[in-house]
Amino acid sequence: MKYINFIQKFRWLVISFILVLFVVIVSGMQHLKVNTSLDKWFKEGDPLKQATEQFEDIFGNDQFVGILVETEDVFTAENLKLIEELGEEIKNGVPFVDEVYSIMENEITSLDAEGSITIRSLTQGNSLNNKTDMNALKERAFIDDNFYDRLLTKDCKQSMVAISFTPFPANWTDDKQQTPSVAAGELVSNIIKKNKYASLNLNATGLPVVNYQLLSVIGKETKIMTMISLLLSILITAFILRSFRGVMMTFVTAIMAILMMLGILSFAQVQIESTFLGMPILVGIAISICYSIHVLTFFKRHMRFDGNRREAVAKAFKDTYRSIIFTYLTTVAALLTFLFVEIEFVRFVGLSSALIVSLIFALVMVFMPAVLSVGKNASAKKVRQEETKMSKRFEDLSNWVMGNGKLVLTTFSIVFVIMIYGMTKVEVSTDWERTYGRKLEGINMALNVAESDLGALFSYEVLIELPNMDDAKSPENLKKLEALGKEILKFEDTKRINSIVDYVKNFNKILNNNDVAYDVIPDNRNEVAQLLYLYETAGGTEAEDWVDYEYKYFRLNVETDYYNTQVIKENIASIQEKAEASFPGSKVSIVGSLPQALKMQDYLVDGQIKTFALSLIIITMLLIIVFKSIKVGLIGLIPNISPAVFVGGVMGYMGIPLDMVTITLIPMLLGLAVDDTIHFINHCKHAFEETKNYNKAISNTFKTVGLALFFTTLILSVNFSVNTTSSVKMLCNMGIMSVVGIIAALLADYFVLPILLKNMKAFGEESEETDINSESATGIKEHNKLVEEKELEPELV
Amino acid sequence: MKKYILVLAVFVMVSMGFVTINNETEAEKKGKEIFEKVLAVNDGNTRKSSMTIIKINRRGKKRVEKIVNLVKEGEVEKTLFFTTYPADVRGVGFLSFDYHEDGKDDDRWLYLPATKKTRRISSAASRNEYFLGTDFTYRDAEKPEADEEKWIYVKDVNKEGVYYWEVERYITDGESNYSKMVSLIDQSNHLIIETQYFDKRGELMKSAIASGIKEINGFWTALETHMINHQKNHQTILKTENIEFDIEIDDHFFTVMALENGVID
Repeated sequence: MKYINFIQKFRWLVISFILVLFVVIVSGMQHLKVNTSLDKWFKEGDPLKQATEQFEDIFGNDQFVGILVETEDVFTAENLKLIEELGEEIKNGVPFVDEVYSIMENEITSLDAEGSITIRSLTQGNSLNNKTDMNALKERAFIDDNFYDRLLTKDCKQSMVAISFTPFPANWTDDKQQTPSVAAGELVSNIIKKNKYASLNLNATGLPVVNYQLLSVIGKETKIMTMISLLLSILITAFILRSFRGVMMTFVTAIMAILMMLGILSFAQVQIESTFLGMPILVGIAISICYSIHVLTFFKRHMRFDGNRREAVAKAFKDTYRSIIFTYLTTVAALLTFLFVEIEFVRFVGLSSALIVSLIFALVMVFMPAVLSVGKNASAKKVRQEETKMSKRFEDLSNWVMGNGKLVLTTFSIVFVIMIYGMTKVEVSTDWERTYGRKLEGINMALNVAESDLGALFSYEVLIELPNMDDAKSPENLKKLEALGKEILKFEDTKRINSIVDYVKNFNKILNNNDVAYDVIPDNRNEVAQLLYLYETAGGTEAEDWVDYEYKYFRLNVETDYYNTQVIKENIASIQEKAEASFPGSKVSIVGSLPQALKMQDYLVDGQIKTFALSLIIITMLLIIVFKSIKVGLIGLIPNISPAVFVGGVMGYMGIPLDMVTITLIPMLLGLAVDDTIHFINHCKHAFEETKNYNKAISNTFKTVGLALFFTTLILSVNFSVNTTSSVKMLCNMGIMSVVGIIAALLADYFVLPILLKNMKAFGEESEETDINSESATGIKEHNKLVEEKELEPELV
Repeated sequence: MKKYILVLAVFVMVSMGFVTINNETEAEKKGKEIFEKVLAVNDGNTRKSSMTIIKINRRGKKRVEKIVNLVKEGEVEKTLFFTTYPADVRGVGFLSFDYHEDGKDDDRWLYLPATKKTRRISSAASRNEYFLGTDFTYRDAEKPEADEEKWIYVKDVNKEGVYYWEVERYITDGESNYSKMVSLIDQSNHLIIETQYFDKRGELMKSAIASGIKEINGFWTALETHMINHQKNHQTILKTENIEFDIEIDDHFFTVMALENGVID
């Protein structure tokens, strides 16, 4: 271990160098670029992203906020006044508001008794003083379909206040570094919470409001949970190591690595996805604990047995460095497979986690030996040549496992099969209720709106690019658009559709004395053009919402009522097919929040399979290379697949959906689980080479590595379980699933791996004179003591 | 000594306050004078013109529309216009009577040649609404009236040798889309040459620049106005051609029959 000797010799120089490097790297954090938006999930150049951008380019900002008013009767003077005030307050207090639509803002187009077209607001010319007036208002409100259909329920108990926005400027942030959408969401959220609107029971939906609420909750919770998990980990590590320096080293390493990661990402101008920063930080703390505990367990053991600090450091690293290098390689390989997923935040999590693990690896291998070698040797009193109680318990466990091989394997196989069956029940879902849950105020409000008669859960846009300019004025094309709309309305999940058709028909009807026979698209092209001209000149730039400036694009907006991935996917495919058949030579794109969510699911599932398969292949290859044995590589697979199978199974039985957080969990667990396996096999192999007896080798491994694995699993479980306190369902699920996965990996390492290693004679034949069945427990102890005294020199290759 | 400093400080503060108050009064007074000069600009009792409306959206796509326009002022302001371009909307006509009376709605008629039908439209259109889908509200397009704005003089401005007054304008007669407007008034002809419109949050919303300033038959007029809506990223250019002032226009042009007869030459 020349390098350890070198580090020990120049330890102060090494410590100083690392501290200076740390300061330099961390100084980069002043250029930190944080992305707080949730809409940058797709990679640049993604076809759906491009289609969405094209849509926004033509029809403007598709973000909106819908505020639902729910009251006994909207038509009271007080409520109408409040609705009006709400609209005014939003227009005057929220940035980027384009229009506010409400029963107090919109105009009603109708025919009066003399046959004149009247265009007035609801209350214009009416007083709000008594019940008769209110009844007259109610009557007026239901004259114009376009007015009440979207703004008022028939029973007058619910009303919608909708906000549209001007295009959000690209490089705008407020003083809290919030994007335009989130900043607008915050101000709307603050307005609707005001006491004076309490009687309106306001609920809001729309990305600006939902994203603001999510970001503020996730931001706050991430901070608190990171602090709690850090604190708990420190306490447990302190309890295990009973060494102030050990605990300090573990967490100083983690904190240094976290800060350095942020510094490096800033230097590299990588945007920090603040919503998902919690994941790499958790991984960082976890890995730091794992590596440190392995080194420190061996270090303490050597200090305990012979007391020479420098030698103990050298021996501890000699015992562990190969395992740490290989576990590092496999973990990083597993994390880097995230880069194959087509979603920005998954790539960010993969990259930043790989970076943090690399930094921890470097710090543990260089900084830790330098710091550990500073200090005195253990006093003669403290040097004790005996095992701890814990080690003895693990020895007993080893004996029990090896003595009950068949029972253990059978039980494991049954549970394994049950879990595989559970996996088949797992559903992919990115819907708000299942991923975020109703505990979150923002989500609860949005779902309340969605479930009302006026709201919708999601919407999507059918964008039809016609071959020539002015084609959108053609009566045939408008009729085809109308027919397509009717087809879409036949789908069970469609709540409402919106397009230029409604406006043309409505104007036509009004111009013809409200005669329902004229509630149709006119056959004459000029008539259509003139109705469109009327609509546009009456509605200002808002006309651009449905037809573009060159009359080349149709926009058909579809609002959906419930969320079933499969049904909606089929519907969208069917719309695409029908639209293409109806408009030959036209380009049809379906964009919006729902197709984006569906596409993301596809990417997630695809990414999940890719990352898991790739990680598994890389890890197996590494195991085969490291242990120079295909057999060992394949045996090593079992404990690595276990976390995935157990997590999948539990998710299936508990109805936890695969979402953007749980999806990243399985490859991450694979990266963590493989560490345990490598430590176990590595130590076992060397113990076997010394003893030529599987039971003894395994017993020795249980006492040393087994103990370390128990501690790391305990700390990791506690660390991840802090997430279960989150009010965000997916983070809570991640907490549960991480613990399940980590424990599954440990159980497989304890109960399956040793039996398989022995039964399959992974390291070759035993030597004949040492047979466990004929040996007493005392015999094993004596042998182990002998092994310790000989100072096991593990060698991997 | 302390007492002396205190008295001095109070004196300074009071005099600064006095100066400020005095300045405000002066600014308001001068603002009012400028406003009166602007109101006094004569734009004739009748006008006939052709107008090209160019709307430019955020993608830079243009929509061009042309109208011919007749206006006759009096107790009732009568307006008639026809669309002449694009071809498929040629002949769409619009007639309106504005009664200048509180509480009395305008009378408006609309004619669609494709249906050969005239419809009366009864509406109390808000002056804050956008006019013909442009970036101008009805209020932006009209000359302000004496009792509806408060003007405050800011400073004199010299731009390329032309002298302007810069004024802040506040709408005093009820609702408005703006918190304030800042205008430049040409000191020689008293026309409003530039206006910046600020929204209720104090952010710049729109700006209008008039150009092609000409004296036609003794009437100063701007032949082109370019309005940019910075928030919507949308623009409108209004170009006036063949404008005639104070010509004889018979009342029969402002009838439904004239509307149905079609485009005036």
